[in-house]
Amino acid sequence: MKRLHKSKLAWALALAFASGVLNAGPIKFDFKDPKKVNNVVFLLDAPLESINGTATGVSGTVSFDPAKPTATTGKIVLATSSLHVDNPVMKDHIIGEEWMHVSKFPTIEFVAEKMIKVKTSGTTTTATIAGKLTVKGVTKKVNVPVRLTYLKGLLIKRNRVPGDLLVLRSDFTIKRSDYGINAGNKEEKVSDKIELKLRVAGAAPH
Amino acid sequence: MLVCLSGGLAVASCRVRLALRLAAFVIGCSGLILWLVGGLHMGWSKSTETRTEIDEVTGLEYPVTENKYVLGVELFGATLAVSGGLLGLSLAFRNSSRPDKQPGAETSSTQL
Repeated sequence: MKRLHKSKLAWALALAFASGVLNAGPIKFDFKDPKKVNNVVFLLDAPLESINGTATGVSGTVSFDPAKPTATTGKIVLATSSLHVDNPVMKDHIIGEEWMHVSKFPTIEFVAEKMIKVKTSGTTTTATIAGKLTVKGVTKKVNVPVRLTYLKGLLIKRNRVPGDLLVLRSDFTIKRSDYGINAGNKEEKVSDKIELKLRVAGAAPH
Repeated sequence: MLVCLSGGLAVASCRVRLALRLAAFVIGCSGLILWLVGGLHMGWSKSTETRTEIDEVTGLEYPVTENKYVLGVELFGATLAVSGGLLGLSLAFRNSSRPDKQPGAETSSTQL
C-alpha cells in the first residue's frame, strides 16, 4: 500500500515537472480587451489647442518569454473606427477620406519583428522594438521604444481567471506625411508630427 | 428705460430697436452662461468629454468618454459677435427727431 502511494506521488511530481518544463518558454498574450482599457492616445499640435484623441479598438497577440525577452514578437492591431476626438466636426474630418479614410483602411497594424537594446530589471523590460507599422495602407519600418511589464498570476485580479498579464507602454512619434495622411496639406494648422502613446495589456490565461 | 412714441414710423422704428436690443441681450447672456457652465473652456466646442482613469491592476491610464456638451471659444465668440452685431444694428433705428421737438406729438410709453 505504501509503495503504491509512493508510486502515485512520483508520477504526480513527474507530471508537475513535465508540465512546468512544457509551460516554460514563450507565452502568448492576447490584447483584445472588451473593457476598453487598452488604448492609444494621439496628439497633434494645432492652433488654439492641440488635437488630443484616443482609440480603444486594440487587438492582437504578443509572444513573450519572461526568461528570454529578446525573443518577443507579435502584432498589435488598432481599429480605426475607434478613433475619437471630443469635437464632432474634427472627428468627421479625422475619419474622412483626406485624413484616415476609415472606410477604406479599417486598421492600423504594428508588427514587432525583433527586440534590440533590451534591459530587464525585475518584471520590467525596456527595449527598442524593430518592426513594421502600417497606417492608411503604407508600411514603413520603425524602431519603437517599449516598456514591458510581466505581471505573473495577476490576470485573476483583472478578469477573474488564472493567468498572466503583459503590460506594454510605448511613446513614439510618426509623421503624417510618411503615411499619406493629408500629406503636405494644412501643416500651418495641424502639425506633421503625430505623437502616439500606446497603453495596452495582454492576457494569457493558464 | 426705453420710450416708444405712438403713431407712424417712429413707433415701428422704436419697436425694432427694442427687439434687436433684447435679442442681443438674450444671445449674449446665453453664450456667456453656457461658456461659464462649461468651465470657461478655452478650446473648441466638444460634444463629449474624455477624462483619464487608471486601471488598478495594470496601472494603465485609459480614457473614459461621456456625452457632455461643452461650449468652446469659437461659439462663445460667435454669440458675442452676433450680439454685438444686433446691438450695432439697433443703432440704425434711432429716432431722428425727439418727441419734445415734434409739435403736437402724442406720446405714449412702453417701458422695459
